Amino acid sequence: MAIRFDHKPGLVIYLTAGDPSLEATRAIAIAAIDAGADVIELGVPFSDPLADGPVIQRAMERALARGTRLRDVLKLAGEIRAERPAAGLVIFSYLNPILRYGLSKFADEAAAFGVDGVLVTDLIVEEADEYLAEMARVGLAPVFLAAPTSPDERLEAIATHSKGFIYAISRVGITGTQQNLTGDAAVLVARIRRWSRLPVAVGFGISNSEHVAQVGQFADAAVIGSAIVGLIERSTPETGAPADRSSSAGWETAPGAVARFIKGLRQPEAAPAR
Amino acid sequence: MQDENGQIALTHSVSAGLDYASIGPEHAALHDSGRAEYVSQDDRAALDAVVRLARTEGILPALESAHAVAEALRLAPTMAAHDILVVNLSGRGDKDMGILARELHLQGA
Repeated sequence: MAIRFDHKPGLVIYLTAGDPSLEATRAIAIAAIDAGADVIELGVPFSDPLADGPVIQRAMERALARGTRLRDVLKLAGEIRAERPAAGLVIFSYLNPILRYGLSKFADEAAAFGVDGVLVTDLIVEEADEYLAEMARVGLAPVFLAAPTSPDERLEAIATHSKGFIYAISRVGITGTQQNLTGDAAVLVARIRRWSRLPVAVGFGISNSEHVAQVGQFADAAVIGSAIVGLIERSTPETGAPADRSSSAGWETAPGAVARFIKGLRQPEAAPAR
Repeated sequence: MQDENGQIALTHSVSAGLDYASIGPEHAALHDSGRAEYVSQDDRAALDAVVRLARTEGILPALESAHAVAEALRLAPTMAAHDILVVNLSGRGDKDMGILARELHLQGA
């Protein structure tokens, strides 16, 4: 019940909660943990997901259309926690749903449901005093995003206030898969390490075992988001392409597809000696 | 503008600059402190105000500013002759010609 990266490299798996349904997200999260995910990020669907690319936008629209609310995601976290006591659980949200819910109420309930950490995508560390006080009050780890464009002063503030791990964004832009990783991520991770000894996870555009192996050479963990969310989309009868649909027996296949994908992310040569 | 779960509401305005669900922090602070009062006017009132100001003064206001003109038209009859009413025309309507032609059904535009 803590954020730990026992595997090398560690894997943080992002799921948009409620896509295609809360029950499906629960089953997929359990399958992901059993397949070797160290940390599950449960994404709270939001109407204006300004940091996310089209794959996660579509997932959020579907989740919202099904009426998924913040309290549902917290409850889902509690269900996952009850079944997998050792897994790392992070709530990944935009700020407005949390503000509307009430920061203190959110912090109390997240802690009560066994959440380990919280990442608020659009809350910068300079504006986070009230949030940090609430996280500290209930013992939740605040995780901040560090970008290649973050100046040293901000990286230092992020390093000072983060707990659990630091999320390094591999490149400028929105979430989504890409062919090759740029050198920006390695430079950023080296800069973060000047101020922090926390594990550093690299995300945005990580979609295959090659990327994970590359990240493993300079960081502690890789975050996989759009690649997983897209796989779930394709493995779900209502949203998969006709070709996928014919080979699919229903959303129950998404947990299996995700588990296979996650196992494939750590090929033997992907485990670096560090 | 948001629902009870903090999801941002969809908006509509004939004026592109007002077709947005949020306001800036300065306006929010002025509202909270009570130093400014905020009122609203709809698409129809703004379009009517554009036409009225253009025909009577030869000034083509931006659709955003036309909302203020519409409010001035509502407010002026309630005031005394010696009261002073200032309208800030924050932009010009040249940029809105396409929208105005469509909304006012102008020919040959």
